[in-house]
Amino acid sequence: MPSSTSSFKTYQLERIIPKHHWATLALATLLSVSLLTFSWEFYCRSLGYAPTLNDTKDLWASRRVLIEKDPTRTVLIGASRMLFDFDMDVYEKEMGERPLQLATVGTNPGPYLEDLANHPKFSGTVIVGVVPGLFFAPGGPPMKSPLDHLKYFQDWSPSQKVGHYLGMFLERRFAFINQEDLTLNQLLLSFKISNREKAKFHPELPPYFYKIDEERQGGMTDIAAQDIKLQKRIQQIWIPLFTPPPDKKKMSPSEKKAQVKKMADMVLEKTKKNVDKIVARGGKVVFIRLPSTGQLREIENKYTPRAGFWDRILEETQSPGVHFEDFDQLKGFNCPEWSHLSKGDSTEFTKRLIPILKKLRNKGKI
Amino acid sequence: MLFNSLSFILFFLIVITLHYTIRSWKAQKTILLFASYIFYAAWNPPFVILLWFSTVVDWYVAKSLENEEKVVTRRILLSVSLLVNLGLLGFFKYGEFLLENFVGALNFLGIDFQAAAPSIILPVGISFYTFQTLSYTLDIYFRRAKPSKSFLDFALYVTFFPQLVAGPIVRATEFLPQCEEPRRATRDQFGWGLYFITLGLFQKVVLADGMLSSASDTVFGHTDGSIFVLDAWLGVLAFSAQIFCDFAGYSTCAIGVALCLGFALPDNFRSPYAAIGFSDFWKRWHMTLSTWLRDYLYISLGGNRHGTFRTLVNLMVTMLIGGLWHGASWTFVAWGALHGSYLVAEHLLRQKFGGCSWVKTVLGRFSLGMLTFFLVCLGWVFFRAKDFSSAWLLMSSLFSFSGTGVQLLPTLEMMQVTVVVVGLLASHWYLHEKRLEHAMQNFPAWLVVVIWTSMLFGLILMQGGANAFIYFQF
Repeated sequence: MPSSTSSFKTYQLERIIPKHHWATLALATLLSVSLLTFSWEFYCRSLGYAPTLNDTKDLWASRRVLIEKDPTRTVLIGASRMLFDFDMDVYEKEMGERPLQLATVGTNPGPYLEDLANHPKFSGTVIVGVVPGLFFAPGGPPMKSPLDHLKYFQDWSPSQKVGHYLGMFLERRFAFINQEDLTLNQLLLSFKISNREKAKFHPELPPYFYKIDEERQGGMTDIAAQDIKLQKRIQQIWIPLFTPPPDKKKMSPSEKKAQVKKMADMVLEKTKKNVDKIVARGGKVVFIRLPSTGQLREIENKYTPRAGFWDRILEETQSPGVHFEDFDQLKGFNCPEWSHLSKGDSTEFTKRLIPILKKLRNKGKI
Repeated sequence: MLFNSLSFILFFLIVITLHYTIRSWKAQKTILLFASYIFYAAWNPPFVILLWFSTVVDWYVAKSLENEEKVVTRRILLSVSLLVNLGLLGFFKYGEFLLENFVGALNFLGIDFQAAAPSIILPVGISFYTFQTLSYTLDIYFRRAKPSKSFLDFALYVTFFPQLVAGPIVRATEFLPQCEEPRRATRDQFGWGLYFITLGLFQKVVLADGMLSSASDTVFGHTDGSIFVLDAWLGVLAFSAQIFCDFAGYSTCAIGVALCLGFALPDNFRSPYAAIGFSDFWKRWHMTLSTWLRDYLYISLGGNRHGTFRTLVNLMVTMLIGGLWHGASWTFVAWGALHGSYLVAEHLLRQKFGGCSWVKTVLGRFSLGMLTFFLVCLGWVFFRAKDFSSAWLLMSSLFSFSGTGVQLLPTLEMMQVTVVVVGLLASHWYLHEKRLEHAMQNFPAWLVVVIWTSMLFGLILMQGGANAFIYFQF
């Protein structure tokens, strides 16, 4: 705190301008930055990157806001499998309605279901993509992500809306605008500086391997569908992400089982409450288990076996569900990196899924 | 609207185009005023009404004060302004805090009372513009300044968009004279303004958000047991650098934007991490707030005119209120109390050891500077921690040398924090006795272009999302 006395004279405040030709320097800077930027753009394209939209909270909010206009629409929620593997064009062609894609990567869809359940007018169909490890996640990033998206939507300001449309204008033109892979921080990560042995932090997330359009139709990139090296890299990232962290409390297997059941019960109770609210307003909820393969499927079977998780969702909520392993036509798809279908396969998968959904619709279940 | 957003770039281009194509000065000011309302409304439109209310009340209070001679009436008029401005601030910023403490106090006394949780949205920048309008009325009340003759000028003073939501807190005596004559930046002023905007954005987007926020968030967000001492220190250093780059970045952008429009705003930061002592620190950190607190609070309490004890009490009271200004939480009060204690201790030490010759040597000054930085960093623990238990956990981790505690940070982040903090400290010591303008003047033109290009290209590579500036919440 300055302890000197103050001065209240009215005076002309002026700022010092360093003696340079600032207009000339600004032009020279503009020129050099343009040169660097276009060189960087060409380099990124030479690596196989193409202009794509970033899957931002703004993009999500721009879809979520449409429920306010038409609360009877079909809504897709879930994690990245729902985002990649569900072809909205096929669905629209066959079912006569364009769904809203609100699934987000690495997400527990519970908060999205709750948001729809608490919407005073929503009475559409909700198709919930279930990845058991995420659906039953009690907290952490799978819960933080949807809560952050919902908060962002609730506070979505006029300036953010304008910024979103300006951002999309640039993202459609420049390949280097890629928040998954090409930010300065992502580039620094590529130096692969090893960490301390005892250091503990969240496992690595996969690199850029999907693209998304304005309606949030996601899909695996062609590179990811073909590049075996990239696929193997992503596969190795899924293993720690889908393996539960070590038990700190050193519980016995029976204690651990009881704890897992207790947490699952809590999730199911909440889910049932939300489903009931939607159904009470005339809406429908259907759960879908999309394909996974390889070692990842083994991990899922080990830690989130069907009987204790998927079956219980349908049982508790009394909702219809489609598990890819229950239908011959949905079996046998190959997930290049174990967790998602390629773009072409997602179209084929949705085509095969539609007759099952139509049957459910004819029975009045969706 | 955030400076680091694409919508601001579009907005700024439109404002600049209109500002320099319209000839009439009155029309230019009117456009700036409307642009400022749009700037504010782009965040949450209804809250513009608060701005209008504050503007109209202080305009009429000041007008009435000018001609009023009766002491009682003058006091009533001043009370109206204080009540409106501090009332708005109190309701929106401290409402929940007061209710929470009231309920806590009743429960402590054994009275079972639960209040319905209020949901009050804090209007962005309310602490800044209420302090700005208050200073105007107080200056008129104390007859230190004359009221503005033009409502347009006064409304623009309250609302001028570059500094509206996070300062610098401008005095009417600094701003209103600038409204009298047409303001047009020269080419060099405009170019220098653009350089300032780039520098501010670089500080915010690349350094604060890109390089520092992750380490700071990880360490301050950890609640599960003690933290390894190195990680704890890097987290605290990361936040110390982040809060500077974030806030100084905003002020630098604000000064640059205003300069492009031909207006001058005062400095808000002057190499604070090279401060030697806390009195020096507060002359360098958030200068427009510290001078506001000095002029309208500390001096009003008696300043240093009533002996050592009263001076120390006044310092402490001022810093406690300064702490609370930053946020409605006891941790901010603790931060203010800590800085108050630093100032009190420094005052006493100066009286006893001020004449020591070693204090004036280069090594002595550098050592005292580093001690000041160390103590400032400890203060940031309370400023950033979400509650006292987190603050104590981090404090104990900072001084736990047993080698235990969780290692939270990846090596890359440790390197980023170290490089930025060392670079920041070096730049502050380099600019300790001189202004940035003078330093830049001595740089060859090619070097300026290289620095400018690096900052701009860094911004492009960072592709930062439009994250809000930390000080918006205050």
